[in-house]
Amino acid sequence: MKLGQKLLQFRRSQAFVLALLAGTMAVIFVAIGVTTYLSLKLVAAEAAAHESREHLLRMARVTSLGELTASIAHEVNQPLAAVVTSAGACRRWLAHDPPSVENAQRAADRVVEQANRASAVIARVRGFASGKPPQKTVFDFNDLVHEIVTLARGQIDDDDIALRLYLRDGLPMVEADRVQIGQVLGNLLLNAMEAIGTSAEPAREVEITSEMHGPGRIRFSVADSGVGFRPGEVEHLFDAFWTTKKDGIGLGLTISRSIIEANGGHIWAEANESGGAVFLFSLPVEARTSA
Amino acid sequence: MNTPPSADEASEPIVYVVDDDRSVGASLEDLLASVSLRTRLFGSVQDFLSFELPAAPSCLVLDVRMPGQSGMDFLGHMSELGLHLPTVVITGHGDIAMGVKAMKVGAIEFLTKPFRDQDLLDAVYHGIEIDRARRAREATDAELHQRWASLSPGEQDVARLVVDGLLNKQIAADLDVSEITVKVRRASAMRKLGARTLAELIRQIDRMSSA
Ligand SMILES: Nc1ncnc2c1ncn2[C@@H]1O[C@H](COP(=O)(O)OP(=O)(O)O)[C@@H](O)[C@H]1O
Ligand SMILES: [Mg+2]
Repeated sequence: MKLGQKLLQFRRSQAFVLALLAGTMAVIFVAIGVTTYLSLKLVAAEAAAHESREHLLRMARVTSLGELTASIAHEVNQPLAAVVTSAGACRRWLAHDPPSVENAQRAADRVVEQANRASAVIARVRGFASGKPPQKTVFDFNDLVHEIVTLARGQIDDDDIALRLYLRDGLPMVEADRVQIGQVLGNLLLNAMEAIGTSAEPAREVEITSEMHGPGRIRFSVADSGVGFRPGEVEHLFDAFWTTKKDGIGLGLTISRSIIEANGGHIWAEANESGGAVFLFSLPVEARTSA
Repeated sequence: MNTPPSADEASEPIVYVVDDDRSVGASLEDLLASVSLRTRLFGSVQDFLSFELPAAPSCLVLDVRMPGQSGMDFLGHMSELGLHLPTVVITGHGDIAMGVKAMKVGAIEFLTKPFRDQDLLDAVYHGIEIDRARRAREATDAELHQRWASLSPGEQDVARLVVDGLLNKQIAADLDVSEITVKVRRASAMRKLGARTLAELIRQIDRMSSA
């Protein structure tokens, strides 16, 4: 019953996202016993809720609200098409003589699965449109890396991934929204693990670095030995709803970028020389030390 | 499944679905299977192009927005590639302009997601019938050409002049042969072309020169 389990798992993770938005996270944590992977997903999903209206407006300027709406419509219509088509198939299987119950059941399962997918898209979009502006504090970035890594440790080990940290000692403090930056890190780490998961390469490595980036800025990078980018892909990475994953939503990087920019930084991606991808972002250091 | 073993696997219709969204693809495959149509799924235009198409009556269901070449772009280039598949275009965010464009580049139907299952099936059945008719036409044309090629040059000359409306006597004079020879060649040409009457011969040769 591998398929059934997968569906169940899928529904569970969707339930998580929705529950999160309803603010019942703690209960769910206890109720289902969240895996590290899912908690990372949660961190990523939570980022959506922190998105600022201001950003939506800014985005409306770059892409035009029409384009954004078209993107959202496309993303919702996709699962809806699968729902309607599968429901049609289900009805037709039942109309067979004798009724093909097993096939009908499978079609009905797909209806549920795809309806959940549509609602997850809506949930993300809603989070996207109603967030708080960044709450800036002064903090040690390397500490934050250790925190997120601890959260992800179980999954990293399960996936048999070698994680290396090259964190520069004595870096100045960062001034940004610590929760949001944690979400970006979680997002990048999650993407890195997913990229390694779909790669056939024997190397399974993730490298996180931190260092100075000119005066007044610190630069961070997450490099992986995963599938890397196909030609022409790099320009689209940060586009809303751009995804190459079967169950991807394509908002992780969109949101990450808006967070980093709202915190006065930049984020970009490069190909990793040894194969795989590198995501880098810079943030301003504490105002007092940067002058 | 209790489908009877088909007499001719190659003549059983097949539907190609090219959509990067696997769930949409899988649900379409399921819907088509529920009405006993076989399907092949492709995640991109490129994948589809690397597939050797069997000689069965077929219809293509093509998504517009995909990574790599877009469905619309591909549709515009299909005839250049020698592909004559009737195509149903489906899209996640369609507008009238896009629909007009799709029909202009040769789609037989344009459906926006989510579409009604019956609309999709109707379009696919229609596409398969168009393709079946084209294949039948091509097969007859090919057979006719083959038969024509089996005629000797002398027989071909006689057949052409018969169709032009000349009498045996005139043909004999024209080709500088005896009237008996014309009669023999004419009978042989009719037999080889499988034409029983003069009218049939005229129709076949007409059709061949227009093909
Ligand atoms: N580390 C990475 N290596 C290769 N490709 C990546 C990586 N991170 C992101 N991508 C690409 O960018 C796309 C968008 O990522 P994201 O916005 O996080 O959405 P999602 O993870 O839901 O697909 C991914 O589908 C993938 O194609
Ligand atoms: Mg992601």
